[in-house]
Amino acid sequence: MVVPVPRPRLLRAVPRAAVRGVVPRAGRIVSALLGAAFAALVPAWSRGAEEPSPLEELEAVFVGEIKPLLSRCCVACHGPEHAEADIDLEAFATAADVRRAAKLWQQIERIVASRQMPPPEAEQLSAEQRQRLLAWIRAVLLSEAAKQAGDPGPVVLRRLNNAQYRYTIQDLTGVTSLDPVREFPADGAAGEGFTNVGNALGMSPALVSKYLEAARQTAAHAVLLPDGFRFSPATTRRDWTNEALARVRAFYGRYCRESDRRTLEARGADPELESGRSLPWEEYFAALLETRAERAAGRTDRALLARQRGLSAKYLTALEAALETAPSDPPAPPFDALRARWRTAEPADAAALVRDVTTWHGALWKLNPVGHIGRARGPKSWLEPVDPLTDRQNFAAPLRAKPGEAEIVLYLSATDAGDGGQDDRVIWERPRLVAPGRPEVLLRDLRQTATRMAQLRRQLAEQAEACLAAAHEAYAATNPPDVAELAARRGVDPIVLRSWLAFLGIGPAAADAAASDLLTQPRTSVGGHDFVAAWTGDDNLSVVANASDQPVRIPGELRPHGVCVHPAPTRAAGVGWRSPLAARVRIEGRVQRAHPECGDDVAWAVELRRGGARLRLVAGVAKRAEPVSFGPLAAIDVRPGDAIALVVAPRDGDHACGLTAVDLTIATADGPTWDLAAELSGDLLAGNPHADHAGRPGVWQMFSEPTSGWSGDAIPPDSLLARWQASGEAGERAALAAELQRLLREGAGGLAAEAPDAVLVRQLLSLGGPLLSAAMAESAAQPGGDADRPSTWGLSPDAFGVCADGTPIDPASLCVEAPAVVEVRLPAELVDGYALATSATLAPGAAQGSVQASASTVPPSGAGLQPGAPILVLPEGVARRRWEAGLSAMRRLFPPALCYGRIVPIDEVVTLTLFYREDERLRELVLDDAETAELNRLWDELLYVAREPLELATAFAQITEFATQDRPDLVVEFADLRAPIAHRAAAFRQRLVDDEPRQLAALADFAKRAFRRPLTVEEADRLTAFCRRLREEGTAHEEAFGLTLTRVLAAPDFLYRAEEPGAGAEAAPVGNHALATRLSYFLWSSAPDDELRAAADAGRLAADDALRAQTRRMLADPKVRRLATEFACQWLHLVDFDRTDEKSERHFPSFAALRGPMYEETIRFFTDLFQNDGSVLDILGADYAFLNEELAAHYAIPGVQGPEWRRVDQVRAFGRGGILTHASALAKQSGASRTSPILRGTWISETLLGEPTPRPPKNVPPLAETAPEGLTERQLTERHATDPACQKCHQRIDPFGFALEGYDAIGRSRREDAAGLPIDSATTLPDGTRLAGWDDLRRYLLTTGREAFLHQFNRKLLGFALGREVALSDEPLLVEMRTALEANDFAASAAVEKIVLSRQFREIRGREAPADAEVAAFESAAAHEPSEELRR
Amino acid sequence: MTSYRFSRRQMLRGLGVSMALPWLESARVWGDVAAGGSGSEPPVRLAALFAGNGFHSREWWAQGSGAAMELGRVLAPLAPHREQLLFIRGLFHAEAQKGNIHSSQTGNLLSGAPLASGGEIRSGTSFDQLIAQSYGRSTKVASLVLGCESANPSVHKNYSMLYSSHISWSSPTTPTPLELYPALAFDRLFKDEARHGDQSVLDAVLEDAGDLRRRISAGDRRKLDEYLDSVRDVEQRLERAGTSGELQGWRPTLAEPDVPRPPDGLPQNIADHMRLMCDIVVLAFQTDATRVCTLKLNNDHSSLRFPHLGVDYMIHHLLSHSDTDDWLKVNQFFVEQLAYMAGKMAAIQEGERTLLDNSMLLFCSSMMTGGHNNDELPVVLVGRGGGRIASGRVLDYSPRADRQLCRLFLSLMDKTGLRLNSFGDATRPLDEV
Repeated sequence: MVVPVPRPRLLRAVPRAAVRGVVPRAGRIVSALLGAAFAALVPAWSRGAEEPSPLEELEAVFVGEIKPLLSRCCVACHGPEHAEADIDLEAFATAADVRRAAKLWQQIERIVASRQMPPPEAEQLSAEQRQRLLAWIRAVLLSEAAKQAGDPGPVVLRRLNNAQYRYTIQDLTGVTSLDPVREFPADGAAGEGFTNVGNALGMSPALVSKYLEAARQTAAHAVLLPDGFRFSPATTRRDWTNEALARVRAFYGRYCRESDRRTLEARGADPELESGRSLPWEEYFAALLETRAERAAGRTDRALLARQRGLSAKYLTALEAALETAPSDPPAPPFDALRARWRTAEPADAAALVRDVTTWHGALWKLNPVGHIGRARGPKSWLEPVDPLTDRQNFAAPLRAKPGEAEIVLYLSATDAGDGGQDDRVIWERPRLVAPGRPEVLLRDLRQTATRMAQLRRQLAEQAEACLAAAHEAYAATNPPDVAELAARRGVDPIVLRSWLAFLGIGPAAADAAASDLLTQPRTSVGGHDFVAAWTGDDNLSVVANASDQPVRIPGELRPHGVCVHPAPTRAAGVGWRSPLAARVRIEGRVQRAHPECGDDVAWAVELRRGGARLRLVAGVAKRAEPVSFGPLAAIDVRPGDAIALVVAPRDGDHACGLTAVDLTIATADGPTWDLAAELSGDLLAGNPHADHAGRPGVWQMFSEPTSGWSGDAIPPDSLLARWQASGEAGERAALAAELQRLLREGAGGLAAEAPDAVLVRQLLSLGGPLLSAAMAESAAQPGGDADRPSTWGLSPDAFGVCADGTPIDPASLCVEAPAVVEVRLPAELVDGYALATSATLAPGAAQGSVQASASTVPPSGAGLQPGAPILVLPEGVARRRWEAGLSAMRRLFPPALCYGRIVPIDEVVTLTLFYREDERLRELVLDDAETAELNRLWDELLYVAREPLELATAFAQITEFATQDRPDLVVEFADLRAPIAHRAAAFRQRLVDDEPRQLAALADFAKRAFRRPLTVEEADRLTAFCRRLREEGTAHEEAFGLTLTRVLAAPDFLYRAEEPGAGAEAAPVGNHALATRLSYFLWSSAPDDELRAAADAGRLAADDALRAQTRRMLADPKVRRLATEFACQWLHLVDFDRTDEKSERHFPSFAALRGPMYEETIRFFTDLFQNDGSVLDILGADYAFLNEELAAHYAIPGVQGPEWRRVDQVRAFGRGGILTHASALAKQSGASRTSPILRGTWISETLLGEPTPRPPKNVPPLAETAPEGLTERQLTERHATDPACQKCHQRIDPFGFALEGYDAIGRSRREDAAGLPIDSATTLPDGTRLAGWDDLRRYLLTTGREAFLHQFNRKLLGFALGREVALSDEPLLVEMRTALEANDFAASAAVEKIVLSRQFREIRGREAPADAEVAAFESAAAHEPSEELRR
Repeated sequence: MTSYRFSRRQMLRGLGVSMALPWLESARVWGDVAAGGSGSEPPVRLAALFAGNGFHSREWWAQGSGAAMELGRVLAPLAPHREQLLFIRGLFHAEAQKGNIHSSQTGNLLSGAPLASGGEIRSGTSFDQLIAQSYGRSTKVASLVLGCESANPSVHKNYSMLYSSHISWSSPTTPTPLELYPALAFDRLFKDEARHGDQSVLDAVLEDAGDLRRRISAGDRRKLDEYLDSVRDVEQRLERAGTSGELQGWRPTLAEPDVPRPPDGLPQNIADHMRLMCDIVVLAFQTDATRVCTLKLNNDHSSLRFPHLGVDYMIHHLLSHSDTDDWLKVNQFFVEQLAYMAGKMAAIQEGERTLLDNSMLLFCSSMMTGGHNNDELPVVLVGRGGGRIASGRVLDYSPRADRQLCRLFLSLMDKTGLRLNSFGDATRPLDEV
């Protein structure tokens, strides 16, 4: 229904005729008129000056017609006498007076139009009079609007509201987690209902305190850098350092990947390599292979190729060059082999090529502990080149018998190293069998020795019974036996008997039983305590004692009067008690780690040592801080010279912090008792050996011994021999001896492998066992053997001493021509536990030769080059130079890691390296100059932020202190570092001072961004001076800087959007920066970004094109989400919907979880609308929605899976589309437990269409206390509106709400209400339009309601953009916006651009502009929204 | 020609301007008024408690006097304090009858001033803030303005909802921001504010503001002055942080808070929230950290629900449109807060009298019932104002013409030693109070 509205100038012509028929029908929809009203208005303004002014006409009508009308109907209440609502209509003498009070007359026009006035008791206007009056008022207002069009209006100084403050801080700092206003009081809204209106943004002392605190908190996130500062999400240096670290690591990650742990471990490489980063070679190879043809044709742009594949152009080029170079002549293995393979490779071969490359890593490189780098004699780098070329290669192949196998086969293999056999003459030097502490046996002599040993073993077996009988006799004798005499008497081999006696601990001791290696260096005042003393050896080896009554940390803990031992990496430390008498003793004691918070566990053992025998009494591992007690071991028989030794060894070769407390007591039944700690702790340094408490010399010994022989030999408990030892009774012993002899002769084959006697037999018959090793020592010098039983073991002695060409070599060495494998069979019984030691070299003069040798019990895998294995060449040979060339190419192009990606080393407990940089290979191979500069800067930042030089100085002091107690050796080692570290720290402190001006300059630059304008020189100076003054007062720079930053963020120039008015009264354009700020706060609710600021700096923003371009750019930016939130959601009363707490948890338990997604839908909808320039009409009519799975389920829309948000089209079929059906809006305009058609209807009418409803009466009768049963929610509402006082409005409002009854109070579609009654969403509007439900409502709003809706949108957008109430003078702009929308398919940007380009947006009232005369004029009367009724 | 401007408004504006002066200057205006008697006497404290949307239409009443006073069911929780009670019927604000419902009835509740609509925010300085300004620098904090419901950031029927959420106004254009967080309210009273550098920052910021002031328009300057005054206030209080107590002349019964700081964040439950805020008010008075507290228990147009009372099916505002038992239950819950506060204060001895004797607890709403009727406002006063209020009575002004609520405010200001010739639409205090 469109009702024509008279054009103002028609008034003077035939007013009566013109107004006839425009009597509004009751309940008409205001919006229906708006289109026509616009049509009428546009020409009114566009006519401009050439049209005759209607003013005189208006004046005439006022005097002749309007004034009398007012006098008759209004002045009784609104005259000089009463002036109800403070309105005196008599005061208006002329039309000009009316124009000056335009705002009041807008109000009057509205109230008359809505028939609130005159009141029923007063004289009524006829329909025609009413229309005449309204038409005249409109005409006056129109002429006034035209006159003032474009007035920027009164805009009061605006404080940033909470949202703007938060966004601005986030944008300025780049830290999105900052929310300093979280606990600020809510902002007030004013103007068009937005929180960006200066009037509503107050200030108070409490708020100032909050801003100060917020500024301080933000400043705490500032991280000082060499050339300025940046903001971090964190506030601690530790976190800042980690961020800087992450930046470096991320840089490393650009071209390199973390090394693949699996391949590395499969190759047996150090897992430490994991921390390195290497190139993704496969991708490089593939890139080159796949483009081989194009490259050959010169059609490839390498830079482009690299960019496309995320690879380094520099490396790609280098790789290509290296691979496509022709192989050298003579060939340089192995790189030439790679080149050769490359020439025929297909793209699918990339992985195989990579394998060829990486197999060499182990041979060409080694990894050093980063923690050791920098120490004297420490390694120089983490990844260190290794030269696999050698002129001599040593081997020690361990020989281990497999159960049940009589022989061990050893292979001495030599290959041609893949480069042909020229000169490949290899000498295996003196191959021999070796075992710790035992004489070695040349392989050449093995045949002979084996024969001799076989004989001895036979004797051993056959004479065991006799030997043991002799031993029994000697055991009982008081004097040491005469072995030769005894042997002769018993008919046994004296060598064999001597072995037995030694093993059983009978007879003269061969050597000092305990002391392998006495500690000889005394140390006093350990750890600065004069009561702590130690005997020490190399490598931290020590025995330490505390003479005092107090515990003390050195840094391990020494108990009062306690003794500790500390082993070294390869040596055990021990304390021995050497028996001064023959007795049966009882032994007990305890072992406990003294420094468990550091380092690893230790192994320990208590042994009885007699002669060459060590009887292990008890052994174990001490873990963490748990004390391990042992014993009492009762009935241990000792003889003078026997020793009880308590030995502590590093477990698994680790030695750090191995300090271990030891206790040992040895007691005789009724004689003396010895206590290690008690006897040594008081005067440890009195001697080593040390006397016992009774002054018996040499009882206590502090010693060390190699850990290589750690296993020791003990007679297996419960074995025949053990029982023999324990018995002592002649008859029983004889029986046991007989049994043992039988076993030795027949073998222990019938026994389980681990049975005590089986172990015993192996032990006794082993070539390395206690009996035969001793025997072998005596018999090695005795050639001969048993000619009757020639041995076939080993090699013929004839094979040694000469090469094939007759050249003599060492008589015990072998000479072979590679490739050759020498297979050596060895008797398992004899050699088990030995290793075959030899060296391989090339024969003299084999200059062209290069071979790879191996000595192993594993058969060699094949011929040709064994990647990764060392290569034997002669030192000065031609071969060596060829190999060097190939290997260095390999090494240069394919390092296993380009950089040390871990940066913070963790491979040492004690280290002076805080951050370790090793990325030369990355820089050489991959980075260009700019990238290198960037990397250097990142590193500098890291060290700067971490304050590494200062931290290092502190760490150094701490380590030195630690080391003086625990690692005196390190103190010496560190001494040279002291001066450089101190010097570096001093230089850094100076640097910090030198950098201050640069940081302050950056702060001034920050202030410029925060203030959204350039700083004057004085302002910048003032900031500097402020900081300097704080410094002079003794504040540290970092704090002073933080306070200066706080000052900037607490300054009015930051908190308020100040704009400078021009002189005079006239409005004038605001400056470029103010305009940029307006634009930015309009579209982004935040300060201008770099690009916008640059445009302002350049003074370009004044131009329409530039302004339009910036607007388009900014609308397309994701930050336009804030326009969606701050404008759209505030307009629709949905702002902060995710925090709404208005729903009954009992009725809607799911709401709390859904309110976030509901809000998000609406925000995303409007973000999309602005960002993608959608149609404003989509707000009502969209057939799409933004959903995630959760919300789609709420809407019962199928096919939306997963938590991510997406646009879903064709949602109308599911009853969705547009703001009417957003759950947020439906829920917001509902009660806590049920829907409210009234709230929904009012919202549509007032918020969407801008049609204000009159205020509800002041004395609304309360609802009945209980509603009758069986009413639907709708019926309840209808019942509510039956009161005649309410009915008129509710007839207008409620039907809109009824049409939405198909949605429950949290926006779900429904067919029944909460009480289970069927939903009725059919309704009739006051104009007679029938609506069946939401879709009809949508259609109605898009057609009949369209103009009202568009006007409301424009008005709200304009009010938001300007930060003030829309005024009469803005009406022309609203018309322009409407026209622009029509012309641009309603694209949102059309409205936005009109605003941005308008005078009101770009200008500011002059300094002398009079305040709005009418501000105070009518406020008491104002009860309804004024002004848009102008068009009615 | 200018006769349609209104003298009343201009008068109020005049008053407003003087109120908007920096508090220091304001303090000088009233500086010669001894705040609450001689230096050794406990001062008179004011707490104004607000509950939105009125009360049950039939259960807000009292009759009789002293211990024999009978109370309507809404007021039942106050039974133990009958002898400290002054029930006043019939007072109203003429200005609040104009304009919109809710917001226009609330924004001027403590000032009686006309409210501006549309883009403007203008009410009048509320009487609690006048007292706070007159007490001036006697206490660490001039006043504490607390709320248990967040302000509503919108415009309703052309009136900013600021009006609906703020009864306390430190100037005609500045609603005093509400503190919602109990922990932050506690900090404001008791945290040592003087941190290194604060003073320097504030000095510098004032200097900046002075600079800025020269560049902007006259209208903007008025706005900036809010900031300048606030900064100056904070600065002055920082300066005095170390000397606090020396200026007071009167030694409070409690020097430091004897309860722990409330936990950070907003309490989950509205009952806990109100209880914590009441505790803070009592603590503030007991330690003399401030003498004026305004506690807005909810907004007019409130959307609170009360699950702990079994009333979560309807928000407070909608509930107020009925006279159900649940509405009564909710009313009582609000009055219980007043009773709780009074009970705590009655247990604190200050010399001969109790803290409650020395206080005035004003409890009011912006309408009588949920039907928006405000031709009579519900008003209850608890406490004897330092012995100057004869309590235990029912006063009924309903038949009279001069029943301005502002007269009560003049009376209450008078008890604190602040004597004004007029306030709002009143020119003389209530004789009976």
